[in-house]
Amino acid sequence: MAIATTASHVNPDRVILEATDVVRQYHQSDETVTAVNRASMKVYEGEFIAIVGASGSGKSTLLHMLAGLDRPQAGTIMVRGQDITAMNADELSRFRGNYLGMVFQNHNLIPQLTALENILIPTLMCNKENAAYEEMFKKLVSSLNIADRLHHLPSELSGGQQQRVAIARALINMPHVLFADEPTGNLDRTNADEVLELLLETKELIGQTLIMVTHDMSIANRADRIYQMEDGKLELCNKRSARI
Amino acid sequence: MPTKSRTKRIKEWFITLFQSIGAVLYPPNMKNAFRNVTKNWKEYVCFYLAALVMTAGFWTVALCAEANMHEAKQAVFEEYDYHVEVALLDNEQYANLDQQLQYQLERDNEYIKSYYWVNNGKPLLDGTYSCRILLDTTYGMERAYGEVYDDMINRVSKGRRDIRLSPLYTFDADYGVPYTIQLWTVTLIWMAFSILIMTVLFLVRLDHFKFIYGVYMACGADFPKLMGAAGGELLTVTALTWIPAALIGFCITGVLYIPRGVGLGVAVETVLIPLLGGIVTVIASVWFPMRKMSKQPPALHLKAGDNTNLVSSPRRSFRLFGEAFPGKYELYGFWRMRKYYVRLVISAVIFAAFFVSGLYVAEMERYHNDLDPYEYQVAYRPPSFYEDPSVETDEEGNEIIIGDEPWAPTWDQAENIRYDVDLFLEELEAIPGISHAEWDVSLSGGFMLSHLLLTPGQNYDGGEFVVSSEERLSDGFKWAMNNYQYTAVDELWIDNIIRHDLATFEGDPYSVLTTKNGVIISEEIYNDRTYRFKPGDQIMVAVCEEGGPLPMVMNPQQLLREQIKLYKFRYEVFTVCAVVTGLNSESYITFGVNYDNYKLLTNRPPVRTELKVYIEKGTDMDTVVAAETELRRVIDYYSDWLVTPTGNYFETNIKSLKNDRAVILTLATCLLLISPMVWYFSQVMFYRKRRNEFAVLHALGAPDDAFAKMHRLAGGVLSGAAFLITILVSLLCNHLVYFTVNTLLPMLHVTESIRYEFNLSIPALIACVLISVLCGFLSCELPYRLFTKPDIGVRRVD
Repeated sequence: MAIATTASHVNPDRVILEATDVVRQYHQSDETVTAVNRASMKVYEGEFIAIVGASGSGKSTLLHMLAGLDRPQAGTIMVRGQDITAMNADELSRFRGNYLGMVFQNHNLIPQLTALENILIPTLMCNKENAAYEEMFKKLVSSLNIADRLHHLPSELSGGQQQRVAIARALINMPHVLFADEPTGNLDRTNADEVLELLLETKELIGQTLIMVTHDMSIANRADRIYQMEDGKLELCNKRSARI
Repeated sequence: MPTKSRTKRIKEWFITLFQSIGAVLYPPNMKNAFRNVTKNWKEYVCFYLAALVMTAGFWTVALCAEANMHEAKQAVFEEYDYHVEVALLDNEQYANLDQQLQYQLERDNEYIKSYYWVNNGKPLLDGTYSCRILLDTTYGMERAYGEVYDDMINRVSKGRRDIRLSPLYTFDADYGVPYTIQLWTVTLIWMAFSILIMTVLFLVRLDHFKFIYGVYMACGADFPKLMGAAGGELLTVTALTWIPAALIGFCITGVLYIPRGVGLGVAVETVLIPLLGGIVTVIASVWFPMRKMSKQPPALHLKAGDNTNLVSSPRRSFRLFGEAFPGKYELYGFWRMRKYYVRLVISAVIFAAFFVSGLYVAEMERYHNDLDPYEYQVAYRPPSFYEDPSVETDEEGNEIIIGDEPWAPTWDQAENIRYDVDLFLEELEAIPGISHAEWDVSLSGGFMLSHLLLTPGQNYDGGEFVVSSEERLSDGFKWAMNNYQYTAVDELWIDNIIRHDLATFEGDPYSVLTTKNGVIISEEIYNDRTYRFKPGDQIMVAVCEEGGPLPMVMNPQQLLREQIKLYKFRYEVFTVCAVVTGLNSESYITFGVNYDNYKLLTNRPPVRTELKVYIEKGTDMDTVVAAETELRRVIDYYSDWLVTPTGNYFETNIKSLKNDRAVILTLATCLLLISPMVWYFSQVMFYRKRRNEFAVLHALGAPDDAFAKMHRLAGGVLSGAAFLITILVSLLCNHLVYFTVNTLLPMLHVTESIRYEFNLSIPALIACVLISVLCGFLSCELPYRLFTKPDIGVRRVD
């Protein structure tokens, strides 16, 4: 599989996501933990952004807020020109279903559904034409190489297969922005490389923007830009100075 | 791998048992267990409640049994002031016995306290005398009786004397031992229910915590250690609820008995039963599930962190394109988790069904207590020179029969005896307090070497009672059976049944008196329908004309086959005039024929020599005494008849004091309380493990109200399932109870054969259905309000 050129589909005239002074705090007993401290970032359409940082630095918390899965206590997040922090719960849910995709580190497949059904779950939330889904489904299944495991439960799949199903689930709706939270964290080197290639290939295929949290510098170095998270503070850095 | 010998396996089993019990009671384990169940008490709420119910049940059973015994003792001691009654003495015997007793009392005989003559020493209505003796039981009841019998009673000529032991003497045999047997039987039944309750709840916990136990096993926990952990926790919960359960048991028993003036007592069993019951229940309910789990590979359990263990693996997928959310999603999930839902509904609903069956058992108990007791035997006395045969052993150890052959009336005597009953029956039944009389003039068809031939349509459920026969195959009579009794039927017999509502007839029973070869027939064996007849049916009777020796066989059916093969029969066709239903049945059906046919079939005179006289239930003691006096006066007119009391009236009255019905209702209600516990406990755990699934769905775009709909849809489906399954399982349980009490127990000779009607309490069933439906719905709604709704938009995906 050829390595894709990540820069080729970036549209520098279009900001797909912009976060401004986003803050997230947790209150635990007498203590207040600031997981994300006035983080700001700008992502252009078609970019591959990596967010790196040590464990506990707040990168996953930030990613969840950017994906609309969590609400900041302060700041705004604009996605596709819409302020998701101002949306109510239902609007945000619909927005996520229509435009955003999420790949979790622990894949989080639904145990009572087969691989095929897990992939199709997002299609239940949106009202797009079946034909569009069917075509995307076929493409994903063939490129992810899971055709022979479609009718098996998650418990009957290997770790790599489960992650591929999770990726297919995240992509079936053809989201404009795909968020991936350490998608290769639980995989061996070979599987990790394969998953990354798949994500990049699909990104190229549908002109998607990819924002990935990772602590694997070899992956981060393939991103268009790298943001570094440290103690809740977010900084854009060049690839050489980026560190975990 | 070499297989282990049986002895070795049994030895290993016992070692494991003792190691496990040791692990449960091991102090560090108990300490951990105490900490777990008290610190995380919310997780164990259902176990606390279940242990409270279970132990309160044990206390109630034990305390009520003690109160019953106390009540029975009180009643017997109040009513009877003698141990032995020597009755039916003539003048000479009276004088003789009186002399003996006075002599012994003057010598301060240490086995007799006092005696008195009934009716102040005057002859009774039948001209006989009756003496009542109070024993001195210092050296034991049996010894005292033995001495009194040898030194006094036996010195009087036998004649017609009748020795009767009063309930004061037979208290242990009539009440002590049966009450103890009943106590332990009920205890074992309640223990079985308790084990079921605890096992169901423990299995629910195990299903949802398999992952944790998988980790323990992966770290080296073997079966005794797992048993120690789980068993220790449940035992601690049981111990912590022991005293509160005792208080509840005392309160319940107090409410049932104190208003009747019965105090509460505590015997050894009263404490032993709740103690042992609790320990055995905990060990039994944890043992089997843990044993099974410990034999499975830990990897299986490590997958169970997210309900994976509850999913049935499909071989095809549903096409979700364009399907409705959350409707179809949740329904598909229902199908995949069907094992879990089926187990949930059945284990929750079964306790509601037990409640309905408990009410049925209480109703059977009420029916049994309301039956008129059979109080007097009115029997024709054989001639005075006749002595009943007895069995003795000679010098060489052989048994020999001393006395005459069993007495039987001649044809002329039979006519006179029958005439007597025709005369006195109406007068007897008019005595206030007497309910009715019954009699049975029967002879076993098998004893007569006869059998019946039936068509396939008449064999409803003959099973082991019938053999196939080729005797009259061409007529279609292909089944033979000899489980029947020839019963002599006359107008009085039929009138008696109809007047006292003892049974019902389909057809015209009176036509049997005039129809040549007519028969009144029953269909039931041990109260269970075994054959199928209707008026007009034809039945072939095979009467043995020539018999002979038969090969040794062990089985009655084999015996019948040999008879059919080797004997010679003549065949008579009988027509069914009426089918009788409702007579208490044992191992035979009734084949009722008129006198002429009875004589032809049995070659014996049909004669009523014994009647059972029943007292109306609820009659007071004074009326019963007056009834006996009047009965004796009536019967005394017919010189050859004898009245013998059975003591059943008094025994029935004592038994009806027992309050068994209230205890059954209490225990049944306790079982009903378990049903909501199972619903709540299981579903809270289940939905707790689905929190991540809901977080993922929310992350994928599911709107907030979709989750409310999912829970309500699930609640609706479970309510519907609970509705249907409650009705089905209640019907099934009631049928099982009916079959067990009506047929199985009499067949095994555990209880007497009493005919009960099948009953299903509609109000109880409606109540249980409503509870199940409500619980089914709320078991989904509550987790929504407890977890799902607060989680939405807040809980992060793991």
